[in-house]
Amino acid sequence: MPTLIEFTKIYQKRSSILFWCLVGLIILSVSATYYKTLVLRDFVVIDDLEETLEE
Amino acid sequence: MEPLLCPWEPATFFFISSNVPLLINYSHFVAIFSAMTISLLVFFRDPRNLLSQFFLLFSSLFSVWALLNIHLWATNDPASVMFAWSLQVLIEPLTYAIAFYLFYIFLHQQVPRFRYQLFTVVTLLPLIILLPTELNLEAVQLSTCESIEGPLAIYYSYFVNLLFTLMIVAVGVRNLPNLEKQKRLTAIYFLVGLVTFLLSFTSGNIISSFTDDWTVSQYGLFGMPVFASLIAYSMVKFNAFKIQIAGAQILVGVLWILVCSLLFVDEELFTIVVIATLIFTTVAGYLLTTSVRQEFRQRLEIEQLAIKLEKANQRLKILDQLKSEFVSIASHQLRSPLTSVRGYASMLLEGSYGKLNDKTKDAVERIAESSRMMALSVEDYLNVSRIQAGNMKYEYADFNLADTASHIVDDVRRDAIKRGLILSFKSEMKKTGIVHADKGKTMQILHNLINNSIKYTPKGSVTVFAHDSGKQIMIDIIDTGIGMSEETMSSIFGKFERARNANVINVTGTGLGLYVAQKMAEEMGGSIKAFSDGEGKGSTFRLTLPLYL
Repeated sequence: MPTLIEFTKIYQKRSSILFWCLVGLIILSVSATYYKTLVLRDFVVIDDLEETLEE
Repeated sequence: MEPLLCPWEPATFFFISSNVPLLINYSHFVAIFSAMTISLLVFFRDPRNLLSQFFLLFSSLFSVWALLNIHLWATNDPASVMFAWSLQVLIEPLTYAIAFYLFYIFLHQQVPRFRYQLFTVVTLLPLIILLPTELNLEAVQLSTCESIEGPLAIYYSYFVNLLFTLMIVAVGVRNLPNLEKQKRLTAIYFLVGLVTFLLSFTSGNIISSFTDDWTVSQYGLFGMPVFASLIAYSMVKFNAFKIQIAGAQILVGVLWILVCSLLFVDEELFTIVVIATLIFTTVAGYLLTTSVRQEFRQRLEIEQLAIKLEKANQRLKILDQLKSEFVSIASHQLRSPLTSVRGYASMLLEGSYGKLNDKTKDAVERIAESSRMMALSVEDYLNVSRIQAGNMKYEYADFNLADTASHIVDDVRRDAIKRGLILSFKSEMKKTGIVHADKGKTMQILHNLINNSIKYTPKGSVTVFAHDSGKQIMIDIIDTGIGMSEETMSSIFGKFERARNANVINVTGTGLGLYVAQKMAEEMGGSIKAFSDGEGKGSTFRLTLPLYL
């Protein structure tokens, strides 16, 4: 059975791991989005300019 | 191949473009200003405070969202639109999650439990992982430069926003009744402000998402100044973040911006801005007036209390003076008859009124001893009274302290011998031992210390040792008596303090002698210190005075 201090340490450690995992994931995800949109420009563009002008 | 661009000029400095309606600048910058000013004020007031940190994080996330939104209106590059829009889809629910943390910390002064943290991360995980995919944003329309949102952005992110808003309300409803009155009122203001902002923010975006009219979502941002005003008000009224004055300054600051912006809006928006300013002026004006009235009332109360305190203080001074006078008079009245008693007892013992038989002599000896003790006690009370009243007079002169100590030892040796003790004097003086002090008072101190040592030493010896350190002379009175504990040593110089084991050897005393002796020594630039290895291990009292060089 862990003591109260040991339990607090484990608790703080797992909170910290969770937080840094979240930060890491966000950085990865934002980087991937940046690369896909601004570098590769890999997205669908609906060219409705002519339709709008006709209207 | 040239990338396709939306049909207006590119944005300058990220935000400036003819495509951005004035209302957008108005709603966004007022909201950013309100959020960042308050959160920075709170943060710099106490940067280590968890609530301050999360408040700043919350406001910063919101401000980034708002800046990205202005950029979305300004830019004509579809790639920028896709990236900024994607970031918004992530930042928005993240702001709601932080809002939940913020309110939780406000109530509990600690971050939520691990299960809440895990729940938050799991809820946000699909948004983070699927952010670059078409589930988030499907395409971008060139004519409006607006993204077509996928199910992640249009359903899941709004679901997360509403979920965290509901969690805030649930935590509030559950905890509010348990709070004390003032904290509860502050929490209600905080909760109402936060939920108003979150709901107006989300509902604006939801309507825009489903109607494709993104002008509506801009009204949602007006929730932030409302939230900021309520936070500012709670600061003023309840001093929630301990920056009362800053709260009033923020109210005035926001008001100033609102009025100032009237100069720059076009006719179409003029009415809206005037209405917004009017509402804010009414609310802020009422709050400010109320708080100023409250402050004024408190100041009046404090002034009245200060007057009462001054009167009470004067009365106390008079009473203290009366007390000192009473003690002085009473002591003098006691001293005169005592002198007579001691004088006649002495004459009786010397045989001035005829020879006494043994029984009578014994009785008269007791009278003489008791009256001597009483005279000493009266002298102690008189000295305390003089010290407290600041009336103790010192007549400074140069004299040899080592010699004086030696003479006192000779004087009291008879008493020591009577008690079966060896009293000796030892000197290791390198200098002459001349001090500039009140000789009578110094003698009184030494008498007191040596007599104390004799009284508290049932058997063994008392040694008076004179030595010097070049600048100071030390007279140590070293005995083999009952000793002292650490606790006794720390309190022995207090008024009416006696050694805890003093009664073991049945010694009478007022507990004022050492107090008076120390005060006198301090007044003459010296000190008295006590040392002992513990109870039953003897004591050393050291009188230190500066040498007259």
